[in-house]
Amino acid sequence: MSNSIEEVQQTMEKEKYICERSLATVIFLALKLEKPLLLEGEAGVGKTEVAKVMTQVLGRRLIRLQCYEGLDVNAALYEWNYPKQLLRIKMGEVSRQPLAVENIFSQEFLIQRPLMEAIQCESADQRIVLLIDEVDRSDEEFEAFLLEILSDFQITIPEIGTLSAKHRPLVIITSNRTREIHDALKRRCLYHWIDFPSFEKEYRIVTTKVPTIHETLAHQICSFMQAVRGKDFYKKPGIAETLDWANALIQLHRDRLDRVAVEETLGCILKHFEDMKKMKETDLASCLSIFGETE
Amino acid sequence: MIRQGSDLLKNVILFSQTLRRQKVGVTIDNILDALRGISLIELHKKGDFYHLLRANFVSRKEEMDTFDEIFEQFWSFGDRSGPVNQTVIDEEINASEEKDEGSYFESKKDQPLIKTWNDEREADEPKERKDLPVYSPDEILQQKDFTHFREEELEKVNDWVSILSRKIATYLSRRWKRAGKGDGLDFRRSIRQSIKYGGEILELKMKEKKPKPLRLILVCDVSGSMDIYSQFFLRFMHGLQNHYPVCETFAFSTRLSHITSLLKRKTFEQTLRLLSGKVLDWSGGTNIGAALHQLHQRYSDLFHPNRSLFLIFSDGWDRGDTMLLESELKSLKRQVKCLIWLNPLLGNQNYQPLCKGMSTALPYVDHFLPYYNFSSLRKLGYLISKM
Repeated sequence: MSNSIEEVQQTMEKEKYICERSLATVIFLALKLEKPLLLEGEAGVGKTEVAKVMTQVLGRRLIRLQCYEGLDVNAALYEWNYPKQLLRIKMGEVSRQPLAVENIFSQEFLIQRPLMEAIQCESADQRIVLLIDEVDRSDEEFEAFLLEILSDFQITIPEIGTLSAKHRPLVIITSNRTREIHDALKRRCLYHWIDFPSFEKEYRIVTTKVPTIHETLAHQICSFMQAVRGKDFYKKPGIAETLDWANALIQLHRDRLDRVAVEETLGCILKHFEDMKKMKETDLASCLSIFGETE
Repeated sequence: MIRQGSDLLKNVILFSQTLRRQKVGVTIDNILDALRGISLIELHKKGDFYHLLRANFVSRKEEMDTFDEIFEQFWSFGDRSGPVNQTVIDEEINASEEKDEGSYFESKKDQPLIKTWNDEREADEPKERKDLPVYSPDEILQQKDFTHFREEELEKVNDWVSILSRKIATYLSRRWKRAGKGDGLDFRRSIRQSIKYGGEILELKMKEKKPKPLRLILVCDVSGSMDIYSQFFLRFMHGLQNHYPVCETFAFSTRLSHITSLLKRKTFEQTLRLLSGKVLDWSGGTNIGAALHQLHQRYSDLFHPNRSLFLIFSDGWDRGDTMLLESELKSLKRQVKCLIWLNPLLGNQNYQPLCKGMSTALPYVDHFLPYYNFSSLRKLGYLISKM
């Protein structure tokens, strides 16, 4: 699929991911240049979704590493299989064979964690999409472990040596920008910022992802969301919230937005008590008035 | 691949150099990747070419505007895919740089104080340092209000602030490596150890859980009323930011600016230069509530009830909405381990926190401390390191 930018864009749309040409361009380049892609943007704009869709599009396997504070080498790269090592030592005792360090610190005794699994794929038709999700949640020292993998697609294990990837995975890294990612990591990646969608794009996304939705309702939902993002809230809703909301409204058999419908389902788009309160008290009327809905 | 010595090759390199001059960090690797990418796209499509260069050369959102501006200026897509006239562009850039510098050293009256800090320091450098009075000068200096310093004393105190901030940072980061005896079994080391006894595990090696470090959030008021003091706090922030890994720094007057990246891995002089360009409305009015609101909204993930230490440096002269300030502090109080308010005016014995902003804030503050001389900074250091 990766012969041209258009092709990337079209095949992604077939998998119901509407993307601008700019995003299609960087994905195309990430595939061709075999470089990791760093996606930044507000929560819920579809960063993680890119990796999932690319898995479908390329017919590859997805390996996901969810980052969190305290994530370390043992959980992300590899760990030694200690019970197996102990058994091997016991066997050595019984069979009276001398035990060498190399015997129990070899590949046979390794447990592969996501990052190692991603570079260990054996054949070209089992290639992998590696998603490193929310890298800004991990500690700074964890970024250092990523450097070797992202620049050379290899892992160095002190007891064994260096293992290199035979087939490079497509690497997609996402960040919500709660802290600045280290320059060294950024340098190794292509960078793209995903913004909140325009009205047209959001409308296309809603009608593609929720095909049963009525045109007027889709139109109203999207205008409403655009207005909400213009207001001052703690957490502005992303596309994920728009889709949740559209589905919720359909389940409730609503075919158009009015004050009651919005108030009933406000929890789908705003996730802070203060935001909901502010919405109900001050902003709801102006958001509704955008498509001529009065109270 | 592009042929050697082609115009496009030269222009991409020239373009990257122009970007570098405007502080967009482009590496050789980035250029090589961009050049590899050029052979993969259809060059006549300006949009694709733009996205190719942007994905390779830009690595943070803030750089995008600069990139766009320079891209438009540099690449003119007429009959050729290269700059219309490189020398013209170069001249323009040089001219604008000269102009910038010209205004930089122009009358200092009309510009915010931050711009003059560097100028003064640079102008002072060639001068010889005068010796301080013979009788225990350091002792007196430590008690002296920051505003009463002569320039030559200033330098000394600045050094102290840097050293102290480094000490606090070292203390904080060392603390979590030193913690108690191990509580988990270190399989890897135990098994390695066992091999010399033929596989019999005689000695269990333990490993200790690394306690999570305390996160510092430092917020500095840079409004007009704080001009004289904020320099010292910025230096303190700069020292901590560069020596303590889990630290985020912000500056505000009416709006909030995240300045971590401007402070990190830079000299203080570089930092000042960057700050004067990047921080909006320096020496402007004060709206503490709005700034905290912005902080909350954008960076709420930084707060943790057990692990965040929040330091705000402000005189509390607030021209904003006190209701907003109160509600923000109330929720902030719930979300951080400790809220410390540093006030430079507290050094004055007659000072009472009566102004609107300060009296609103006090009920929510865990520690209300002065920050007007070196001694008060040492007390702060002591307090933080005890936490």
